[in-house]
Amino acid sequence: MVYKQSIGRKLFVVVNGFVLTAVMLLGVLPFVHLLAISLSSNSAAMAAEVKLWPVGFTLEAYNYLAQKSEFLRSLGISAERVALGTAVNMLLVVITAYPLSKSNAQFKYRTAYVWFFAVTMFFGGGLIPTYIVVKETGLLNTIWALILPGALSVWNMVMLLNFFRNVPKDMEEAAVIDGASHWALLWKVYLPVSLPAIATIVLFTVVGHWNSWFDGILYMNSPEKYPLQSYLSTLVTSINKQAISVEDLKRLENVSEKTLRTAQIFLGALPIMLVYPFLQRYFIKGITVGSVKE
Amino acid sequence: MKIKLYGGLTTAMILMSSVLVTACSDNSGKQAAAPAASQQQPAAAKTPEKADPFGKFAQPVTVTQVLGFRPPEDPKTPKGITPEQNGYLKQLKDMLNIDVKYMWTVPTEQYEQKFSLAVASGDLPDLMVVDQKMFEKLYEQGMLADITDAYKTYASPTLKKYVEGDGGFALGMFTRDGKIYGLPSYEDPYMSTQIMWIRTDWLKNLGLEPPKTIDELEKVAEAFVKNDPDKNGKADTYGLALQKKLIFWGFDARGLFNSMGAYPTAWLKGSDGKLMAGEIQPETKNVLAKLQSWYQKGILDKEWALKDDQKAVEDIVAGKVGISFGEWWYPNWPLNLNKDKDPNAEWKPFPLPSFDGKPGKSLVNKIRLNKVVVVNKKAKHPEAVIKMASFYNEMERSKYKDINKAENGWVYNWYEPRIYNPNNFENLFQAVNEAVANKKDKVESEKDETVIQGADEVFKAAKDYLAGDKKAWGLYFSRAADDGGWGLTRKIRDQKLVTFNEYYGPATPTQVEKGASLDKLMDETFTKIIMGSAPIDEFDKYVSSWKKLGGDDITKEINDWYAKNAK
Repeated sequence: MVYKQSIGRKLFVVVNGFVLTAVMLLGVLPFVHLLAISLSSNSAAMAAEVKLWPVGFTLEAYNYLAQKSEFLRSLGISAERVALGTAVNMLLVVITAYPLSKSNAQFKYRTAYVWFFAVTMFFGGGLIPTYIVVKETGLLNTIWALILPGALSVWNMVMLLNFFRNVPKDMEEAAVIDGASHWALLWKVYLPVSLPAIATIVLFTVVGHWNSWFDGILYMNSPEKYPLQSYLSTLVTSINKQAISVEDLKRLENVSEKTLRTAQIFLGALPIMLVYPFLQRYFIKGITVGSVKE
Repeated sequence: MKIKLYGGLTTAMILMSSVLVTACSDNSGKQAAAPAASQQQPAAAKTPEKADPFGKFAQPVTVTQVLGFRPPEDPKTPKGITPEQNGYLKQLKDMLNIDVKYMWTVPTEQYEQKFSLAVASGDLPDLMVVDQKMFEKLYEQGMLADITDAYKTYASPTLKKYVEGDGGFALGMFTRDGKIYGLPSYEDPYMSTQIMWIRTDWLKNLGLEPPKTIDELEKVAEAFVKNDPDKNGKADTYGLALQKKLIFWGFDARGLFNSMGAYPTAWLKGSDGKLMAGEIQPETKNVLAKLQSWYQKGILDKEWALKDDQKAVEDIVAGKVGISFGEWWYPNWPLNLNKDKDPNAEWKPFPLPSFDGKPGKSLVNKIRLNKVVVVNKKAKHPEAVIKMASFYNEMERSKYKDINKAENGWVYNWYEPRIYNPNNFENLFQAVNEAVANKKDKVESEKDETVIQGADEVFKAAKDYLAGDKKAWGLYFSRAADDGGWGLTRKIRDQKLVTFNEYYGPATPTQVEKGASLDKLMDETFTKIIMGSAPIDEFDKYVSSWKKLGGDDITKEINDWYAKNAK
């Protein structure tokens, strides 16, 4: 059976299509532009002639990059950081959120503990004190300096905590009657029904670790230990003073390798863009719907 | 997003205001005594005991330092080498028994941030390479060692020649109460002379002569806008390259201001003998009126106020613009890129045009300071640092030429302290030209057998270019050509057609506190006037607000400094 569409409906579909396409283009075009520059000849790139299609197509930048050990080395460090960091973060978030999601009756002083954590969301020690703590604990110049200072994200913990609280009580009671301990409750009941929340937090954590660059510069004492984004930041800094020396000029000449720079920035963004499709299937809401009849 | 820890005046203000404000005011007394004492030094210096700058320490001496570095320049350098494996350090150990220990090594781009962090957390090495601002900060906090004796006893004659190459002027800046706290490395101040770069192939296309006055410049620039100088049948060109920061390091308006006798952000001597701020003088107003009319005529890009240095460079490379004020080095970047793209492009430098019958005089600072080498007060062997500085210059001698090679893992730009010959640039020019003229196959060393830094590279570029290799143009035309960047600059230097910035001290307390907002006020007002969104008389309002908002206090502080330090 064919529905006759009203004019208003048709108009809505068309306008909707346009608006959504425009929003999509806003997201995609910058990457297309980057890709086009990285595949162009350097003089065309420097003259800003490249828009969305390469001018003077060449793979030179990528060829050069394949031989350049710095890029690959820091890519490896970033991968290590994401793997280690996400594992540590997720473990801590899950095992902290679970007890704190219980009521005060079940877990005495629960509210006080939540506040204990929440305070750190609003007040921090500041840059230099944090640096000194990292230094004095001997983490400086190790990968742990990038992972441990932010090992528990309170924000994510509170998010998961609230998700846990919305899980129907009846499921927990049913499991307890079947003899489940808290440990079993957490891993066999709460986590499986919280996959959308977990997927979201994993995504935040992965993206956060991948993108952060400032701590790498603070805590690492040689560029061999820089994660990818810290390394990339050295490519895009600009000269910000009036008198430039002969040594600054060398830097300017390097900056003109624009295609090389864009190639690295593009490759740096690529892995994280590929993460999204794989996590997509977990973003299904209402997995608990229908599990409990009231 | 960029997070700059201490970059720029604003952050410096936040972080150092408490220290600097109090400390600077105490220090005014100390500074007063310094120059007098430093002048007497040579006479008063006690004859040093016979000490060898290259004498080997009996026991190994460890010197800690930190390093900001960039990749080795020479492609022959072995791959994967790290600063710890630098050939210089092995030689240093063999010759002087000094072990260098790096606390950290980071890319140059991160050096400033990382160093500020080290200062804040009190984690400083023995040997430090800092800028003038950091020197003042460390000195005020009492972190620096007095290196007077170490310098007098252990500095090699070459090192002394370089440090005091300007008659002790630079060294005096880092001497307090007759005690030396830092060794400056500086370049010829004339290297910042403004000149005017013009596309001469465009001039030829239109049958025009290089402009000698501002009026002629205006005619040429208008022709570049209207008469299709690149002969492509499209009106896609404009006259003068300009980026949004009018006073910056390149592609800015300093050259034009200077041509018309205006010197914003500089301090000049007025008729009453006192220093006055260039940005509030009537000459500055004239230039703004001129720029306003140029903007209306399309000589400036319609969007210049939105273009940063990178965007301004893009227009030059794309062949959209034919005139840019700037320094001697443009051919090496970015004019060479324009020539890569358009082989017909020809750029030549010309002196600043004259205005009202007076020749254009570029602003030149009294000193072009690269860095200051200082020693931590806690360092056990300040003399080791002096020896290390002398060692670097010694390694530049021709007798070490066979071992001091990139392929042996010697990376000169990873070694600190490097104190350069301030006349390196001029010596290079002369030596390369002499070698080219006499058809030699290598550049001669200096009389004391020091290899001229960079001369081989420029000599090769000169030979290649003169043999027809267009790729070598940038290096050759900036540094060695007689009608090129440095070639013209040194002629201006010999004619002394420049104006000196009389202030070379550290930022005054009010500058630290209010300088950033005054600079912002200047940028905004000037931009508005040029764009025509404010009338030219807005300038008078700007002058009175500038004075009220701290300008008068700054002027007073600068003049107090000048009264004590004027030489």
